[in-house]
Amino acid sequence: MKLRRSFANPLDAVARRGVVLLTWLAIAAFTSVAVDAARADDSDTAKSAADLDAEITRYLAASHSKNPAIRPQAAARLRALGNAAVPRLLRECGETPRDMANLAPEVVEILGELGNAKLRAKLWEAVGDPDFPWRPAGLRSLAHAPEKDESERFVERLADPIGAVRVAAIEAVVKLKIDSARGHVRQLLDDPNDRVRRAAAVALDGFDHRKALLWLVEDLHRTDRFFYTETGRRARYESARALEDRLGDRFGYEPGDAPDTPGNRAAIAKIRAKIEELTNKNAPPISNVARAGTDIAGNRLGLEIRSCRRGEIWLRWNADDLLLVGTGNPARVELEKGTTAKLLKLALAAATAVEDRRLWGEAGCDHEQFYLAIEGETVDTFRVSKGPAPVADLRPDALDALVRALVATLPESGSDPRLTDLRDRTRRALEAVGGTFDPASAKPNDGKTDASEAGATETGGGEDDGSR
Amino acid sequence: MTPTLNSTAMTNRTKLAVLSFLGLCMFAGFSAIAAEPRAAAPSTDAAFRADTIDFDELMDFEYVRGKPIPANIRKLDGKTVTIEGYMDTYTPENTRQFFLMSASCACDGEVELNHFIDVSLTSQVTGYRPGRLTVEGTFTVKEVEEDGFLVSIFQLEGRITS
Repeated sequence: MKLRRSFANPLDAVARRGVVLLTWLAIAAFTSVAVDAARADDSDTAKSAADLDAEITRYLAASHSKNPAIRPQAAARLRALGNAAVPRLLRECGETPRDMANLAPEVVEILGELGNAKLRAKLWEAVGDPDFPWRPAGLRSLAHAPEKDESERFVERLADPIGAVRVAAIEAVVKLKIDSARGHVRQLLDDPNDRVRRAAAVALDGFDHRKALLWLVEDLHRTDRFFYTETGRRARYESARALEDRLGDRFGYEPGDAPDTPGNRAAIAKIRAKIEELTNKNAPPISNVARAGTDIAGNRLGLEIRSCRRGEIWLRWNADDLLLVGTGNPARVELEKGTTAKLLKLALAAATAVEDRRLWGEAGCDHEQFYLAIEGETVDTFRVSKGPAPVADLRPDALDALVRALVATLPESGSDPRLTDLRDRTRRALEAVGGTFDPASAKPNDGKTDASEAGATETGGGEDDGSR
Repeated sequence: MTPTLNSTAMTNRTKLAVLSFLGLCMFAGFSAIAAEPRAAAPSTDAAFRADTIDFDELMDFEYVRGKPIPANIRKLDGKTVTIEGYMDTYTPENTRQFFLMSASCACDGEVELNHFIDVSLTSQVTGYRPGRLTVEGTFTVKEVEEDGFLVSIFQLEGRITS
């Protein structure tokens, strides 16, 4: 009211125009500032998106670093970006598992943790493809935060040919508390792969089958080796750690010492007593596969196949013409007298033919490694290794000839689980790594074409992977 | 003007001389590296005494950044040690540095920081070799960071002995 009255005199019109003008000027100035601000905001958003993309690019590059420590850290940083990284990662996954194989396995391992349904669908598709090289990382990724409606698919993976996939499936089954899978997990206590057995023992302990811990105790007695690799010692350490996690104590057990030192014998007795205290349920007997292995002397030739596509196979031919299948307490197959000597002659010829070369291919998750023990002391090693990309014929001819002869001594199958389809599994794994070696022309030196002709007889058992 | 030109010419000649000298130095350096024996011959140096350690011990804890490394491992810092392991399959040719791994492949999953040693060779060059090898040298326990990433916690400066 006071304002209206003030405009009643002759100067009001001028004042009114002035106020209107000032108002328009203010509006214009505000609009200009607002538009500028909006433009600045848009450019900030654009800059953020570019920064984010650059950051993701940097982490993806780092995930392929040659430094093994950097790769998982780069993947962890991608995971920390959360939802913001999902659209780019979906694009990076491509259309097929073969496209996804271009990602580092460390990145595949974090995709499932981003909580995105499309990424999980892509992971399941990849895990279902036997030629996807990062299947263990893929299932571990899914198992980090498993979803209830995926229960059946995880249970199916308990029978996967790759040990590391079975381990991830066990973890998921425990997290999801799938009671119906207990029986299946119990069967895995006799798995040819010792890591799977350990995972099964820990899982069953979590399901209140505390006697399953006795399978870990069995590992505390192991002294086996695969040539120079102290497989038994590594198992002692891993089981000692797992038992400490479950029981809160190692009871003085020293995994670096021999299992039969007075200190370790006493410690093992205390651990057994502790497990007995926890439950009075009876435990099923421990099978040959899971029994503690000892160091078997006289290994002359070895073949270690570790294929991320076809599983793992560990084979040794020893001076007593015994074929040993698996690590730990291996399955034993008697071969015809003189078989190892003939194979050794072929291996020495192959070693001469390849001269100084010891590696074919590039670093990757598929490899076959040949061991040749000269005089039982020095062990020469030849390695054929393949990256994620398919390579047609990686293995040199000299090793092809050796492979043909080695495979010819393998039994087709056997009652021990590690011998199931052994020759066929070995052939398929070797083909997945080094390419074909023409098994049709397989002839050991004596001209016999298969293990039965060569007099192969199964005598006992140990440990292997890939039979499932 | 002439003095300036002369001066420029002198500068260019000096630059050329310096570059030639540097080039010769680099050539000599590369030649020296190339002439070095590849790491293969077993050591015969009896004076080199080392404590034997193994990966099972180094791996017997879960490394978490910021948490202390167990005392039994920290006490190895600065010691002369010998250890067996496997060369990282990414090791290039003619290198003085490689990662000594606990296993011949990363087939069982992620490689943790306490599963490998960053090895620097003092008087050898090498390339990838499959199979087990033994290295000797001064062991260091130190969290080393590069470009924002932790790149190693165990280092060894020494040589391949077998």
